[in-house]
Amino acid sequence: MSWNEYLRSFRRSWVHHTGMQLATLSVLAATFTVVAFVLSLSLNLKRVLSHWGESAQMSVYLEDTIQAADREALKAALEKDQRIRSVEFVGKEQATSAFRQKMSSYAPDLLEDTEFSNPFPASFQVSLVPGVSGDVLAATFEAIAQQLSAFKGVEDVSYGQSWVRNYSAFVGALSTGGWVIVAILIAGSFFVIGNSVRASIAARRDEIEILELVGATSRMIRAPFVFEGAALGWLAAAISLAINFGLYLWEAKLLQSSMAFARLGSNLAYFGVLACLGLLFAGAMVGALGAYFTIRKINDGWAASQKDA
Amino acid sequence: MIQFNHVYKTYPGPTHALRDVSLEINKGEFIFLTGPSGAGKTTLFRMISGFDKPSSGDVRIAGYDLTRIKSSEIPYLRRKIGVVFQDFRLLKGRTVFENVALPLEIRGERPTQMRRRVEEVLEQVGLTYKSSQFPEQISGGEQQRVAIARALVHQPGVLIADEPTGNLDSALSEEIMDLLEKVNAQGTTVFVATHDMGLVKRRSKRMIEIRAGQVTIDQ
Repeated sequence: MSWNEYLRSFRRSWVHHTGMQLATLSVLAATFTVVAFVLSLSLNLKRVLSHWGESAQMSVYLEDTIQAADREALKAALEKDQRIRSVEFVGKEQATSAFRQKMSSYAPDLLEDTEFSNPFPASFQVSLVPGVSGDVLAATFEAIAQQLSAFKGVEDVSYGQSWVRNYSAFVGALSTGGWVIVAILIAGSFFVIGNSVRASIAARRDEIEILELVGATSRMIRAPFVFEGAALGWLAAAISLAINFGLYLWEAKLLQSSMAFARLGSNLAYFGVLACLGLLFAGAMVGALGAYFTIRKINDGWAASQKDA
Repeated sequence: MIQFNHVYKTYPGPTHALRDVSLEINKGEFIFLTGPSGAGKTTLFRMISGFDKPSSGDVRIAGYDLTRIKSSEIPYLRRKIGVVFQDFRLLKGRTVFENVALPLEIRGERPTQMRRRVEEVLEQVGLTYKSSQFPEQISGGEQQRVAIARALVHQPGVLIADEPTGNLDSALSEEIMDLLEKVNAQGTTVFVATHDMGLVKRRSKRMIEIRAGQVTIDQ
């Protein structure tokens, strides 16, 4: 059979089984909408958390006795590291001055206190390149800290270890949880799709029997049903993407108007073109496979015989 | 064309649908198969159309040995046979033309050849003017004629008809039987199951009677 004939068969099926086809499409679209929503939610949560993670900094405290050559070597090593976006040197005086400024509202005398000794070490303030995934942030900082400990003149490395570790664990759990939910939903959608397609095919059992009767091979009988399953899956995926796009626009508008202070709106994103194409393909595959496994049980070459026996 | 040698068919239960059935039908014959309901007529026809296998014995149809046939060969056996049922079994979503064209479509015939052949057969059964209508838009007699046209369109060697007049009144039944005789006159072997003895007597053809799964009359 040619593609034209598959399309004709699909159209015929819609014309003569409109109610059933609509019901199947609705169930498929609803299932895919939930799957796409969870995927989109997971993607956006990760983006927001990554944005927060980008503000994390590492302080490399230097010993007071560090030689200028060692300090320069350390700076060069930090600047060379691909994972590091910026390295800023903060001298002892600069650190003290910053401390005094920060504390001035609580202790105004501190600004003029000439006897205030300088307890602060010089340091390098290190920021990571954007895009380091939240779940590997702690591991990245730890790896850099371990490398730095080998340098002469490094007193301590601090990056808010416990906060970063908790943050990484949270993002990791969220990511794993998201995939587990998606896996459960996809497994569930196979059952839902299987049942919808089974009902649709069972209602057309007569058609299968007649095709067997006039000498159609199993492949000839199955192919239009599999094509139909794929087309329904593709359509359902397209509908779910459209619904989710509407939801995304609504969420973005809501976050920009009601939660502007959190600056979350600018971090929201919808699936890219490749992801959309991937979801459409996945929808078509799920529909085709659901139809194939169902029709395989019914069309074994003896459908009419089983009915009458 | 069709050979049954000591054929038995037993369904779970056990129900002995056929017991030691032996018969031979030659090319170009017109045969009536009669007998009461549950005698085994449908089982016999299901075997001929490749929808059932014998429990024991040999069945040969159009060169295929049913006891040794592979599943993948069954569709090709069915393409050598035309089958007509009491309940017509037409596809509701297809027009008369499309229903008749189905066996040719499955064989991958070219659209021009398919059109010519379908028009020829529709003319033969007198339904050219109904070709674009759907089964539900035509009468029972017309639906049966469409089923016969579909069974004949690929020029099978054998046409089997299971109670083809069971749902029709006597005038329409005679019309259908006339049509089947016309088909037979063109060289097709026609095998008709019926329990309408009046119809059988009026046609004076070979008659096989089957009772409780056994052939009781073959004359």
